[in-house]
Amino acid sequence: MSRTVRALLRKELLVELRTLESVPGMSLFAVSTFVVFHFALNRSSVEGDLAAGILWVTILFAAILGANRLFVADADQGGFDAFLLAPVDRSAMLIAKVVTMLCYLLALELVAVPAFALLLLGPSLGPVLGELLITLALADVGIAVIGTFVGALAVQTRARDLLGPLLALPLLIPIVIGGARATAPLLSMHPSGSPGRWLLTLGLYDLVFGLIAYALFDFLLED
Amino acid sequence: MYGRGLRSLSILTVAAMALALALVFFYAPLEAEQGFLQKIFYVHVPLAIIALCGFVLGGLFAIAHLRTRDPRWDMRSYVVIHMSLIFAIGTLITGSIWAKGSWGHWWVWSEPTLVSFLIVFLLYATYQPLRFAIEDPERQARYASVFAITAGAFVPMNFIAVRLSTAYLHPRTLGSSSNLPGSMALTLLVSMVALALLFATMCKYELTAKHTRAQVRALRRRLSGDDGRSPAGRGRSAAPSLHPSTRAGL
Amino acid sequence: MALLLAEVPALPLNEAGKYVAAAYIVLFVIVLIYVAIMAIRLSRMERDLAELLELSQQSDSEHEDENRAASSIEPRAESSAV
Repeated sequence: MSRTVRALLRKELLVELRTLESVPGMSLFAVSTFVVFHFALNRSSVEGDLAAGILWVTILFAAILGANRLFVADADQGGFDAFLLAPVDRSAMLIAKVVTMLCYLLALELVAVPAFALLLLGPSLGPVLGELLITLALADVGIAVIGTFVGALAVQTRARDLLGPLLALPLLIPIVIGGARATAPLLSMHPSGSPGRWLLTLGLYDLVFGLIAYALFDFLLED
Repeated sequence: MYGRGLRSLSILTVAAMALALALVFFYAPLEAEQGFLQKIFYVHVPLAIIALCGFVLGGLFAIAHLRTRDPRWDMRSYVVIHMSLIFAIGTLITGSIWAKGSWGHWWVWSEPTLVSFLIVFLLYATYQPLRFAIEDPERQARYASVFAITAGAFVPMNFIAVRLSTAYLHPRTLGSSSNLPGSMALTLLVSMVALALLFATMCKYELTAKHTRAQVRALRRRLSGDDGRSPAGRGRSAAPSLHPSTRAGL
Repeated sequence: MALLLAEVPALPLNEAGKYVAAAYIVLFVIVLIYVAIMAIRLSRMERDLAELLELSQQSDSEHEDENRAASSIEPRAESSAV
């Protein structure tokens, strides 16, 4: 199983590296969104709840953009059929795609978080960087799982570009709650409070959703 | 046959609803804080609870469908989710009316139940578009079941998450259902039973109607032979169709 | 209890009454809309069934005509064979 996952993962990352169709788009979208926020809110610097909100909304929508494209190549070019013919565990595709999505998100945040700190964020990130990264990592796992799962669900439908985000957003709200609540005290002028409770929520949500996705993914692949 | 117990169920529902309304307006005492306005509690809370149970039930039926591949389970899942969505809309509207009466605003973010319901409504509102967007009936049923299970599991998690996010900031706007005096608790219980019966009746009604329509269609197909004539201008619906020869009760 | 009643608005016809009425009317309207939808479906089904009944009677009479035609052909064939 892990060999299959590794093989699939290698293929995904190679395709992305060669075509560069998801990650640059997602990162560019995030930076543009920060600019839009500056004009929409008429603010030069934000902190606390507002900062956390802007960061999370941007990451969320950029992630949805990426998740939309995750399965499109497989659906359009027969990748699903090829995979189904191979005598491997079908959940390997789920794991590979989730890890792929995770990599996309990490790449996205490598661009988006510094851009955010540069363009809009008031307080400096230095002291809180560690906790911020942990929060981001936990939330990323959840976003990756949900994005992949919904992507697989939506790709076989007719209105896949619309249905994907529509399905994903309500499911992602608990992650936004956990992420934003955990990040808000970190991004204020006087960083305070421990995001422990929210991190626990994020972790539990990731776990439950991961299990559900793992249990149900096979049913999406059958034909 | 789906319609077998329908008559007795509806009569029971009527009796229960009459009793519930009588209790609400003639028996339950006036509440100290909100006065007469509090009576909305007896329609809002049962609608909410039944809608939530309905969504989870839809998920359970979907599990049965994926296990047995029997399309009847998919039909039941669809109808229950559809009905719960209607009850959820009712919850949102009655909750909004209550909020307007209590606080002067049509919407309050500080009431976690209403907020959770909004999210759940947004999620389940995609159920029909999802079904409609998949042509192949077997795949449609399968994907819908996957969605129903995921969404059904999401409902309790969502409630917990939203409740956590509002807990330390605002007090509950619309009053909690703990520390209820006995008479209020009884009224609430009867209201819940009445609305649960209403839910069951409407679901059974819906299933019977769908089944009958499928039988009519099959009869038409048999009588017009290989005409290939499709039912006059009805278009495709998002609902699953049932093979008419299956016989089952709800 | 008397103290309670003295404090709270006792008449349902004041401010609060409108909202309570609205909430219960919502429930009523939901059920009524559902009844209306069912009524439309029922009348459509009745129309369909009437059409199908006509169709089946048509095909029945066609069958009868065919049978009669078939049985009238045979005696003539016999007589011509002879």
